[in-house]
Amino acid sequence: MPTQVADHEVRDSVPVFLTILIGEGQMGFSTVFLDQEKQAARREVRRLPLGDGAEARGKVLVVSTTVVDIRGEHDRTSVTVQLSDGIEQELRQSEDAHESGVVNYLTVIRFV
Amino acid sequence: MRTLVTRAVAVGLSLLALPTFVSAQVVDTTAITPDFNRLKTPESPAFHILGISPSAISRPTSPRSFAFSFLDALRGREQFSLIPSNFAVEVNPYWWSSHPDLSFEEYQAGGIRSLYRTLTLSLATTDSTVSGPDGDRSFRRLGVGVRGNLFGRQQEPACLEEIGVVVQPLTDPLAREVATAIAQDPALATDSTGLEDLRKRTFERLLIELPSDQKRVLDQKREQCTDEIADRSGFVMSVAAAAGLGFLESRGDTTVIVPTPTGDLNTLGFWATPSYLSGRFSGIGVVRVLWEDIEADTTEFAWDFGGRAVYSSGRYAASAEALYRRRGRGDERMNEYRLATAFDIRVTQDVWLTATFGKDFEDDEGSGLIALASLQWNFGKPAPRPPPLPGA
Repeated sequence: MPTQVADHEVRDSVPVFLTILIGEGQMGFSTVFLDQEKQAARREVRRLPLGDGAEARGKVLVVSTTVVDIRGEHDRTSVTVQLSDGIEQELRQSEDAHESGVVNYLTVIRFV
Repeated sequence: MRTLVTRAVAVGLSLLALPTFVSAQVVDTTAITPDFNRLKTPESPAFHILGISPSAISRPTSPRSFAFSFLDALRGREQFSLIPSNFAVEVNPYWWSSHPDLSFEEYQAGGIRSLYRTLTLSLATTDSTVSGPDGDRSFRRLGVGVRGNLFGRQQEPACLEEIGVVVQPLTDPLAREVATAIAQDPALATDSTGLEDLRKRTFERLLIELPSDQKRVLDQKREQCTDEIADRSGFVMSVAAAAGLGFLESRGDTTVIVPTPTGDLNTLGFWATPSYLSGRFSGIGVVRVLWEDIEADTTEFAWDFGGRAVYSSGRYAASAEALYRRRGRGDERMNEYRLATAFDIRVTQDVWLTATFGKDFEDDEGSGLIALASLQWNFGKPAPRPPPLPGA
């Protein structure tokens, strides 16, 4: 299922960063919301600052990623959402792209 | 000969005067000219070493599908054999497993890792007959080949941005709708089934609402991207090797496995082609070796060393080629060379008109001068032309 939910425990004074890795040599586009505020909408999201733990606590992170199958060798796609604040949390999903050639992934993380 | 040269020049000049019925375009790196592409390492060395162009090539993407493909080929035979007839398979083992940590950018960065990421193994069988002192011998040949590309960091294809123009507007509203739904019902943030329903529903709606021209752009650009990724530019070095082995022989009306393969290892090939590929100027170096021992009393070998450079502008190209060949058959040894210049006009995407002048390898009949105009088809891949065999 291309939807994943999780909780992430934050620490007050430690900044939280978000990285979205699109694997299998494919490419894709992501949009990131923290609560209802858009944080990013682009192809590469690397170490996107989401504020420190105290700011992030109680908020919900929504990551929507659409992967486009551009590889001739296979039709696998995968998305890994990484949260880094001294403690790494990694959420990985994978699906095969079929006729449409695009796969949409949704990751929702509550900061607790 | 002078008349022939004059005619060729006349044909070449008349080609230059052809009306422009194709739009001027930058010559891409994979369809430079047919003569240039011909020097490239064969795409499937196993097929090349057997001199075959299989019409159906199996390309299994997992060990399981490879096994099924092989068993299927065996099942097609009337008599059981471990070596199926007319079997052609090509695999890229790197992609048999999942690589969730491999980003597009990392793949495009190339380097030494590109060699094993692009490594392909090819395998083919064909039935051959050779004449010997005891009459004709039939035997099954098995070709095995390996090929890899070493390339430098690749430029980002323009198609990525164009895909983004279509895809990013699909991704944004979905994230916004989910964020809004969670704001209205915070319990949804932990309900993976409810979120999946919302995601699926929203994404399907967005795809349906996508204007038809945008859908077309997405399909076209995806295809274009796949091609652009495969068509590398800058420094690219292809290395390939292949071996042909004989396994079976005919006895009467049946083909049987013989205890000792009659052909053994009977053909070997090696190719290395360092190249620099760009829109205007491209150059390719060639080292290729072929050894063949199908007929026991006449071992043949040939090795080529040289290169070709091409300058292209729009639909016109000019190139120069120099190749040295040492070849042998039995106790004979010969040194030959080919020096040629060519002028090409791209008539359509895949068709070139070429005027070639110079000296060819074969000089059995006179000077070996070349002066010809020809229509050549180029499909972006090396033509399935047999390797340089002595006396060919």
